[in-house]
Amino acid sequence: MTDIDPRVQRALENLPEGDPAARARARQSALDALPLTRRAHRPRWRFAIAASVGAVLLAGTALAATDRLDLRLGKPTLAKPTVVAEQPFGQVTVPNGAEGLAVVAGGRLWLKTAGGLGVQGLAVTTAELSPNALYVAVGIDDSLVAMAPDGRRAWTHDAGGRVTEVAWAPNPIVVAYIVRRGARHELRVIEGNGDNDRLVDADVGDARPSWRADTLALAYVGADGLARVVNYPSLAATPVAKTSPAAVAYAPVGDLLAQEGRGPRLRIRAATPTTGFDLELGVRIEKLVGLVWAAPDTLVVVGDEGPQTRLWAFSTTPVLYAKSTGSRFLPTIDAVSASPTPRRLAVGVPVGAQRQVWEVAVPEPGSDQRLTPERVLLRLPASTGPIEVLSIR
Amino acid sequence: MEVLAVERRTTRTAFAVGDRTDQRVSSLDSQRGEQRLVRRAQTGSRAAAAELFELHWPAARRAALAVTGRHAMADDVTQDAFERAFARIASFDAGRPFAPWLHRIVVNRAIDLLRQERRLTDIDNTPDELLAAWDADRCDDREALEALAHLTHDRRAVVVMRHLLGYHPPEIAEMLGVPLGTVNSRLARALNDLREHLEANG
Repeated sequence: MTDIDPRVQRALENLPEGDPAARARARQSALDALPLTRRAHRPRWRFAIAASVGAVLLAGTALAATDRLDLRLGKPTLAKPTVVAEQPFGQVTVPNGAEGLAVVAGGRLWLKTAGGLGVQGLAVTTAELSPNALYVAVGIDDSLVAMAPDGRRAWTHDAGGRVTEVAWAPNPIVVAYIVRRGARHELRVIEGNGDNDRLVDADVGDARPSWRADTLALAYVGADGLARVVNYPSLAATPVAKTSPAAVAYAPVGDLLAQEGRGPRLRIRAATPTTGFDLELGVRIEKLVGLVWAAPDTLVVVGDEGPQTRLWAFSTTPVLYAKSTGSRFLPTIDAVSASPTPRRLAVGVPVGAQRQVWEVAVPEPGSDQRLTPERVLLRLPASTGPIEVLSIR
Repeated sequence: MEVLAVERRTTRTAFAVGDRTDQRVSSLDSQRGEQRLVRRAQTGSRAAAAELFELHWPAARRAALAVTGRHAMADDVTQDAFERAFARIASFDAGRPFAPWLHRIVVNRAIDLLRQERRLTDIDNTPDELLAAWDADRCDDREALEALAHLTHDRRAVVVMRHLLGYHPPEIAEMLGVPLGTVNSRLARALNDLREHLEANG
């Protein structure tokens, strides 16, 4: 042993304890992460009940095989954190500070706006609210349709194919959309009144394009997987770093463009033409769920990390380390959208036998808080299908 | 120089063997108790999991603080490690000690976060920041902490794993996923740095 070893050991052992409140939070959070497991030992009388239930389930399985009974078995999903009044299926709640919420689940649209527009279960391919939620652009059959506050179709544009993505510009004079043409996807722009439809790129990836805050640039993912940016209205290509993102997202203020890189590890690049940074997180994500800005200086990445969806939020001014903020109450997330209220998101989640949309609070980067579910905005039966699109304005 | 290196290796090994033997004798009962706690936690016992938490939080959190030098990050790292460990408790071999599994997550997560932050900001914590977080003024041996604060986080991590958590270099190599030679090299250089700092300031 050297003379230094015991000194180092003693010094390290005398490091201060942490905040008891942080420890208590950590303990609660860790215990809530325990998987829901059946008890190992049950009283014998329970076996009789279990046998009876088993017989019923076997009968049920037989019925299910004949499509006469909808039967689901498996590990129960964690319950929501607070008891809230059950609202009827399909009733949309617009969160405070927002003008409207549109949800596409299982190919159907649920929508409510402060202006009075309401839709329940309309068959669509995709949807997005205009700024301030005055209109909603939806894909219906092979058309792009803008619906007005009174529920009527403001205009219909024959897109000639299935519309898979819509991105309404911050200045509502223009809408970008992606339409499927056979095996390819085409990116086009159309003015907000339904006129002057123009081709941007005849072969792109099927990822939602993103408008710069001033509507003078549009970012998207090319068919070759590289990020691209065109100026608007000229549609001339502008240089952008050669990365291979799965998603692109312009910040709501300024010209910071975030890109999520393809690959086994989570990689983020956020850059302007002159400044920026690269970030590679030491985590493996299996699938990207969303890349959104929760505030002008806070980028949020949502991805499936094994059985759980996790969310990483980090500040860009100053740049702070990313903090995972997975929620024990919302173990998996299907879709995510940024709310107009800073640090609020809408997330689509499976909860038990339902699909639900929750408003959640995003903590300040570097804080001790986790993603906090606040209220349910929409409930749908699980049979509706996964939540595919969320649009909140 | 060559002789010195061999001598150091020998003394370190002697220290390690003695340390391990003592630990084995003194902690046999507690290991059995811990195995029972893990098995109960695997069947969903929150009480058992809570006991595991209380048992392992102090060392894990201290290790996180020693590596990161920041309380908020240490809390985050330790909480995250417990969440991950408990979420996967069903797949854990209850016959093995729980601590190495947890410590592996803690130290790797701490190093990852520091690397990410360094990549973003191109700066490390200053020694003064570390000493403030470590409350060095209350420590009897401030010089030792100052010497630790001047280590790079990679070297500090192996020192923490060796001298605070009590792992041997092969175990550290396995836990960090780096070659044994790298661990030995980092430890040797760290001890050299510590010695030089202490001699220069002592």
